[in-house]
Amino acid sequence: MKRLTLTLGLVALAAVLAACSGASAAPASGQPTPPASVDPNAPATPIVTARDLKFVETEVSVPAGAPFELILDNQEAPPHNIQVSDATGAKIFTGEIVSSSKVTYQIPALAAGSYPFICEVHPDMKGTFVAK
Amino acid sequence: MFARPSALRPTNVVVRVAIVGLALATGYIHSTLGGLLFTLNAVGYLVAAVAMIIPLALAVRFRWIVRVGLVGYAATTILGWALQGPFYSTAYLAKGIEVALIVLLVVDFARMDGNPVAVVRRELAALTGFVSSRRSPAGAAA
Repeated sequence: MKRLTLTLGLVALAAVLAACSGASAAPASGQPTPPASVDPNAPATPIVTARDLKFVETEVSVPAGAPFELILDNQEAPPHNIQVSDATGAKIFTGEIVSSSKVTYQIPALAAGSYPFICEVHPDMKGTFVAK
Repeated sequence: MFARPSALRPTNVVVRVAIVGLALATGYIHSTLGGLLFTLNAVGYLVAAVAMIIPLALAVRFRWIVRVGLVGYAATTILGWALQGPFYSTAYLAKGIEVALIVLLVVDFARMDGNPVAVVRRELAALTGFVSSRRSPAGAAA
């Protein structure tokens, strides 16, 4: 009798665990559903990738007239950051220097136009933001 | 070719080891930054560190030049950084190491070479003697 009770208990426990783990699995249809919090009309966060001591994206479109977020994806060990200047060469923004990681910068509002950016550590790494 | 072992006092050995360690440390930091300029800077520190301890007679004879050269090299590196940046934690660490390196090199120079003016006079006298011996008939015959 004791053995039967133990067996039934284990079966019940296994059923409960299977039900719990199945709750977080993908839907049976196989169609991925987007998270409810993502707005499909929201503009994507611009990304600048640093690799082989160069910026992969040398011309990046950014929104004009409002602060925006920018991701620097440094894919190598040498440290990099982004420093934005205006047409006169005055520094508008200097980002944190990072190695082998991503960082999200909060860039202040830029009027429509072109803004050169460099890596402070390696000034030969150059690109341009086009605010529009 | 090789210098005879000199009787360095323990404090001199400690100072010399510290100089080599600091030169290698800042050289290593620069080697991690990537780019030709930083890599060449790291190689310069490595060469200077070797020159500070290598027991070749020529290096031992002109070790004072190595000391002065390394002081100038570290000071130029600091000046270049002060003018251009960037100013962040790793750079501050490297500059701190370079300042300590300069201080130890000055101490090492004072302990091993003495008054720099006297060193320059001595070397000028040696150079003058060398040139005179080359110009004299006896020196030419030799």
